[in-house]
Amino acid sequence: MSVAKSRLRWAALLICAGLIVFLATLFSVHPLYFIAYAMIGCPLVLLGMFFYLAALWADRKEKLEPESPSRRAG
Amino acid sequence: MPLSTTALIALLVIISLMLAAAVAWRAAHMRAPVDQVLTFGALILLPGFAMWASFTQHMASSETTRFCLSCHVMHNYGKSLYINDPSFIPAKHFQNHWVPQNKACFTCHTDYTMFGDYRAKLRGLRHVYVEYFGKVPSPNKIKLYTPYNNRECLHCHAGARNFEEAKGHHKKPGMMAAIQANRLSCLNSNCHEFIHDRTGIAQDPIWKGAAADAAANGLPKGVWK
Repeated sequence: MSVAKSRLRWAALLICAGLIVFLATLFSVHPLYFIAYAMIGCPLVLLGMFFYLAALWADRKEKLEPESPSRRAG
Repeated sequence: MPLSTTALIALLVIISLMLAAAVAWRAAHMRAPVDQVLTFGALILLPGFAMWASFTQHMASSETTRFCLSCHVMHNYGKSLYINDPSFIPAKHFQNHWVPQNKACFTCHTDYTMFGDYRAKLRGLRHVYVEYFGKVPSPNKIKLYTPYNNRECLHCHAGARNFEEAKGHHKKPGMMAAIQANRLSCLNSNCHEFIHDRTGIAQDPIWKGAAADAAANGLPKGVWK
């Protein structure tokens, strides 16, 4: 799997983890759940978004780079 | 039956979760521009919207009486809302629904200024930090950041007939003007001085309907047991 696709998968997994935290904390009215939302859920989703942007960057780089001779032969 | 806001946000989070999971599952096979649009929606737009919606929901929850009283140090403040004595101002307001019962703390302890709500919430965040990571002071050492401003009382009482015409508010010439200008405190001028009894709460008479009312409001057991 290319770097871009690997990052894309990581991005999606991190966002999934963050969204699960959102879901788990949504129905509870307690400061601890708010802390879990703010300190665990939000950073996971933001990190996932960052990975997504990194995947776009890697994809762009892969498209711009000329194919290596070994890849061309394969 | 109409869906509640929380249920709608949960639905949004679930849809967002399913799409993100689909991207994780199919990441190796994504190529076409349509896939790129889908991944942008699944990994940026929907999670961003879900995060904002959840944040507003948590902020709304943080205004509830249940939220404020869920920390142990606040239990005596909660109990003081059930004192069976109308001279205790918070108890009188809470038991008679003069403030919304589910937002009783926030109604009186937010500043009615342009950024009052945000300031109150920032203070609340600090309180949460102290509760879990700092040293919690004893209840008798907890004080307001600034003396209680009449503005918070007048937000509801100004213009009300029973406030404007009350004999006690016209005992001296210029008294009403002094109250309105916050020169004469409602609470600290021996007029309405009984607020939250935090230390002598065990001796105070408690309203007999307290347990049922607290349970109906979802307040922690420590408040009414």
